[in-house]
Amino acid sequence: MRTVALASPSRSQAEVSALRVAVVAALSATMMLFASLASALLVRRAFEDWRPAAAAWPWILLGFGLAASAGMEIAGRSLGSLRVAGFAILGLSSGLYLAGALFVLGSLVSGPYGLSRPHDAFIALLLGVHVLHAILGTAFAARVLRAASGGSSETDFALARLVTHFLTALLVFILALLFLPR
Amino acid sequence: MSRIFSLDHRVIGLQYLFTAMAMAIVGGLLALLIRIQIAWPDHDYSWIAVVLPAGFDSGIMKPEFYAALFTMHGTIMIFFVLSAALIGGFGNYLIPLQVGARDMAFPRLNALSYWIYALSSVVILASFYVPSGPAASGWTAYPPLSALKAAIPGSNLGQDLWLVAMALFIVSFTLGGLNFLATILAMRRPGLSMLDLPLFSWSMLFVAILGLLAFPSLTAAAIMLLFDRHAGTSFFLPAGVVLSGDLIPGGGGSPILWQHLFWFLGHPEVYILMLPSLGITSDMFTVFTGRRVFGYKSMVVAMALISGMSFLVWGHHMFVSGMSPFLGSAFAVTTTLIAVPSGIKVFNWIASLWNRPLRLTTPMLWALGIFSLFVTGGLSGIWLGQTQVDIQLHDTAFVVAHFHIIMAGAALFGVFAGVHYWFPLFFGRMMSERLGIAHFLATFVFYYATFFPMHMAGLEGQIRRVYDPYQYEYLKPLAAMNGFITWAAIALAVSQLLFFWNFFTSLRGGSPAGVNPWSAASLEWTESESEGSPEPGPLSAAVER
Repeated sequence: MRTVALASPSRSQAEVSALRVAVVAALSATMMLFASLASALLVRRAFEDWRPAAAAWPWILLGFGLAASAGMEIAGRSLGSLRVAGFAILGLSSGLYLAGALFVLGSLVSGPYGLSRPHDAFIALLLGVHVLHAILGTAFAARVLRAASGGSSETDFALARLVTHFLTALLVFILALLFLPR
Repeated sequence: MSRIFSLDHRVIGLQYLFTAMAMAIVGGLLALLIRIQIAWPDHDYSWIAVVLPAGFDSGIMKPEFYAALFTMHGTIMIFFVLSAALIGGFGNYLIPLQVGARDMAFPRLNALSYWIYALSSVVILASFYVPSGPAASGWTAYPPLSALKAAIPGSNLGQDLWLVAMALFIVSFTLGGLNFLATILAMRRPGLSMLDLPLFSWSMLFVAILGLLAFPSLTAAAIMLLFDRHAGTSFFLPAGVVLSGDLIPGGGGSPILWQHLFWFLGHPEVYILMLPSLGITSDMFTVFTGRRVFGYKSMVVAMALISGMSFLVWGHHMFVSGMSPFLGSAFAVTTTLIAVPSGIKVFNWIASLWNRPLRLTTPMLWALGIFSLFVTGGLSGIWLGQTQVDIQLHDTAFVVAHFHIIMAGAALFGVFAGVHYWFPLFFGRMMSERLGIAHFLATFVFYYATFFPMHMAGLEGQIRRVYDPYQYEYLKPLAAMNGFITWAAIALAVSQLLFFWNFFTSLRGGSPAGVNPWSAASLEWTESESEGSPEPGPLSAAVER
């Protein structure tokens, strides 16, 4: 096997650019995943046995999601103690969202009907997949923010904001799809 | 160990290539078993039963084992061989070299991508050894067969392993796709514009986009199917399914929904396999005619159009699913429209070859073979894209002929073209041209001999996925033709021994390649040349840019 030594473009600039491309591509793939799940829901809810149930928890989870985004914005737009407060809001609301969503999923699975009712099945499906992405997204945001705190990279901060807001937007989308009347 | 778990894109590319070769042997042997069964279903195959006792009863193949064979053959060849070799193998090795980067944008992610692929290969192969056998619902995994664990033996644990393997494969492909996009778009050497890239790199760019946007649909479907199988949901299970006299509780879902989600991936997957081969063909024509392929920019546009339009045609796989005839007509129109960018490619290739001195090296012969298959399979594709014809030919051997020529054949020939062409770059030695040409001629002849007669069998009404066609009186006259096809398939398989012999003996015994043995002008060759090797290739003056 040959070794080919090549002159590369400025490493940091290229790396930043590559990370941005990768994040946008990953979010696009995630969006397609949720679009596929949403299209399945749109097909399924046209059937006669579709009986949506009202509940309060979606609004609570939505509140946590929006608070996470707000915390991210506060942290991104300020310095000093306000930035710390923003991170605290972000961390707390993300944790509460994950705990709340997992509680809802557990309740559905262990409930009297399990997931046999179509509306419950789609709640478990969409919320479960969102929780999985929220965990991955939070891990990614934490990692780039940690990197940003050392080198103060605005790009890293921007990527963390993008991922956080994207996840919140997804949550708004799936809750609207599941609970807003047709 | 550091070599095995290397982060070097070249090592990872070769790891993909060798794993895909191993999987190709498995997938090819399964194909032979399928063909032998179709040709001579009543024969006593006790000698095969020694190796696979669970699949035979007194030497006669069981129907459910036959279903497992075509399921695993399709799955392994499409995902674990062709996608892996063309994209994981060539893509990983060549993209950084062709764009002038040191490595992939994210080397760790790249290595992770390979190891997840390797794990998914192990999982899919492991399903042969579970007591209920591997999945048997076809590579399309249509429910309710795939959703009901008790439907047939293969619907049990084997189907779960199939779903897990596919999920792992998709994760692997997604990580690879992110890397490809980031490397091509962000890591190019300064001054190297996108329009300086070889068409192979362009094809990798489009393949990455297609995969990232299309595979999530199968991911969604696979998650829902796992829910149906294990969590008591009924996304795909209709109401009123009776199995062995018992009514299945629940239901109310739609098996057609699976088909939509599956084919939203399934059709772009066709182009995920074909675009790299088309890119390789164009690059071969550049190198071996001594002039840049005709209409380079229009080739890029054609690939972009093919990629974009591949998302608009999935319904042509579902003309007989009971869809509205108006919707069917719309899908027929979009399907036919793909002939336009495909035609651009074909006519550009003709113009590239026209009145030029051709160097008929082994890679060039494979590229010409791809050209031939692309036209032959494309023409039958136009037939099958029309509802009126497709309703008659759906699920017949005609369809098997079509997709083996246009998709499997073009992709497989692309692998051979790429291996012969880049072998000197990979290993510093040449493969034998004499053996290579013999391998090409035998493969080309026997490939057509195997698959072209299937058009006739399909027109005569031979349905696919039936383990004994001659249980139907009207198919008995096709026994001789099926025998011929099977002998051709056996000859095709034997021909591949030439390739393996050539490949492995050339690793050590091939003549030293020099730096640029094909006098190519793309970066993966010219960078080596500019390093001042003792044997600089006679580069580039002949290659008009």
